[in-house]
Amino acid sequence: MTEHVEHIATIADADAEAFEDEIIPEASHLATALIWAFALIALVVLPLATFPGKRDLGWVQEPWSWHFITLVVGLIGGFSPLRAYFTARREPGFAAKANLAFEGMGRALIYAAGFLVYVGGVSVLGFTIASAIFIQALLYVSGLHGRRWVMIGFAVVFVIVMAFRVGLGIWFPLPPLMQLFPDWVGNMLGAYL
Amino acid sequence: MIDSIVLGFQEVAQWQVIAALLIGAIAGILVGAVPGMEPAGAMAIALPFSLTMEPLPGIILLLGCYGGAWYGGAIPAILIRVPGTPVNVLTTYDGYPLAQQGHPMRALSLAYSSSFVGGIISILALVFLAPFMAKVASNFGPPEFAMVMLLAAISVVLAHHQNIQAAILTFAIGAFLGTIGFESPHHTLRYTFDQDWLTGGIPMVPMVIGLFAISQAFVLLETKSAPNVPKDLSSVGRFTGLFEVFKYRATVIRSSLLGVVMGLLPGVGEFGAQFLSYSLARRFSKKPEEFGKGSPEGLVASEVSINACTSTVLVPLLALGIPADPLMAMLLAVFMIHNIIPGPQLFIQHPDFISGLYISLFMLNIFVMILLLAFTKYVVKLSSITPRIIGASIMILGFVGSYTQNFRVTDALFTLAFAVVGRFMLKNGIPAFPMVVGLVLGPMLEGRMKQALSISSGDPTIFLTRPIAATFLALSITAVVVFSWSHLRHPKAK
Repeated sequence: MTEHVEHIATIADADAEAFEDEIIPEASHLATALIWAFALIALVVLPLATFPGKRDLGWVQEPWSWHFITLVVGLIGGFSPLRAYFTARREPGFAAKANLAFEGMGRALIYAAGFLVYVGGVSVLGFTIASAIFIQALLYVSGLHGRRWVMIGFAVVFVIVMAFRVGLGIWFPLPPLMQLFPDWVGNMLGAYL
Repeated sequence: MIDSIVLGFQEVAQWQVIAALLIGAIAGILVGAVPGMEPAGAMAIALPFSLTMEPLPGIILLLGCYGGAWYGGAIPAILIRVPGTPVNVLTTYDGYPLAQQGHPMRALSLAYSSSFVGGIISILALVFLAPFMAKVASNFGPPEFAMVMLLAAISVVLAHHQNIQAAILTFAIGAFLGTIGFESPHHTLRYTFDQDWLTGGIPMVPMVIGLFAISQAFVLLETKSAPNVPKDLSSVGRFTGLFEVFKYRATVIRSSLLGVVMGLLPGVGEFGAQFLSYSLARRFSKKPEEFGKGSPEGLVASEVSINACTSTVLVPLLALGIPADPLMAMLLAVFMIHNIIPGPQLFIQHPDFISGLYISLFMLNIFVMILLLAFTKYVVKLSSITPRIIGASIMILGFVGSYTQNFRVTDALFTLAFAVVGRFMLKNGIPAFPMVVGLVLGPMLEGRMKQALSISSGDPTIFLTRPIAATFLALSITAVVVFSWSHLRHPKAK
């Protein structure tokens, strides 16, 4: 028997994406407030971040005018979530819900830190070796352990290297690591590392 | 006319174009078939490589990722009730029940053929509308272009009506970021703080890779379970479904028209088209009670309208040079890198390119259709790939895409920064699309505004005294007033 869908579609369903987080209004307001604060800081530093025009072409042509307009529009347009945040922040349980804005960000920052190390690793070890290490680390941290996943990780890197380094011929500088080896090693492996 | 068509075929008859068509079609299908991957992310990763190609293969590669994904997205939607792409939500409503009734292949074939019909109608609309709009736009000067861009910006923001305040804020921040660096007419630096790497501004490629690809990879790396897909997929019903679309001619025509029109409106696109199309199909159906329980008509309405948008979204880009969404912004980057300026002159200066693009789009739909009919059984298996391995692969591909364009570590760092920001925005329901549109549209709007005001010696009434500019300004104001009025009258709609 087919499962009955007791729901009439509306455009609101566009937000019901797979692989998407549950949106908590309090957290969303806090997140919007933080972006609002970024826009405010950008506006405050405007006099320090721009120079006056060299000729008098009117205020609209001044270098600061566009940033002033966009930031003011953004601050006015995005004021409502900020107001909602400040209005509701004294309600019981609000802080706990609002702080959910950062839930899962710790893991994202771990992956981001790994990416940062990977970027540095590419310039030392070369693309292929750094990618092979990075993917193993990613799979391990994300919970995919065991010989099977190690092999799959290496296979993915192999396919990427064959497709992009060999197939498309995307160039990467020869890694300093190769200086430890005789020249012929670098010459032979340079196209694959 | 005939000359242009012949030149178009000459453009297409190159191995690079055929390869781009095939790779784009396959990539698009895979992106759609694997839940959790989005066309924006795939296009972001493909963008740096497309920039190194000739214009037509580069554009076609990106359009393949984009168009193919809407076809492929129906597969997990129908078989496992997980939309392959966000726009396939409605496909689950009738596709999944139809598959559960014992007709999975019929449902898939019906979805493919509906997508195909919608896609072809969309290309025909593009062929007729783009030159017409370009002809109209040939009379435009800076004030008119500025007002069209303003209307596009407002449309993009209003399309995110569920979180409009955040959309205004992110669009504004995008427009702000887009104008960091060197400016004219005074030739000064803005917000660079004496940092050389900021002189060129915030690069778009690392931004889109970070916001759409790497941030999605963070999500996939945390997704523990892979969806279960049917092990055995019978081919019974393949051809029944294929031709069934023609039973619902009224629905096809209505949904196609809606898709074509919605595709023309910046920011509205597939979402608006499919929900309106589905609602109307249900209202006018002889069997409305079957909708949501496996109605083939519901499936047709949804799929036709999604694909009827795919080519008409190109009309504002080709005819006016205005990117209506981030995907079109990526295409604009490919045009710009090859010094092809979209707009009215494009149709005069590059008729061979335009013809080649039209022909390629037809071929793309045919390629995707053939690939899906031949390989559905194998493509289905991709829906069960562990999301974490996809996430890990995207991280590496994202690095390749962002770093190898200019070999600047700062580009990879931009990618990382926008990935964290994108994850934070995704987590909290803050739309990232307006930020990318703002990044691209912002500098264009600033330039056109300044040009227009230079012409009028700083007098802003130039936007009111020129009829076309005034019309677009009136449309912008009307859109804002109507939207605000409807929200004030129906606050629950918020």
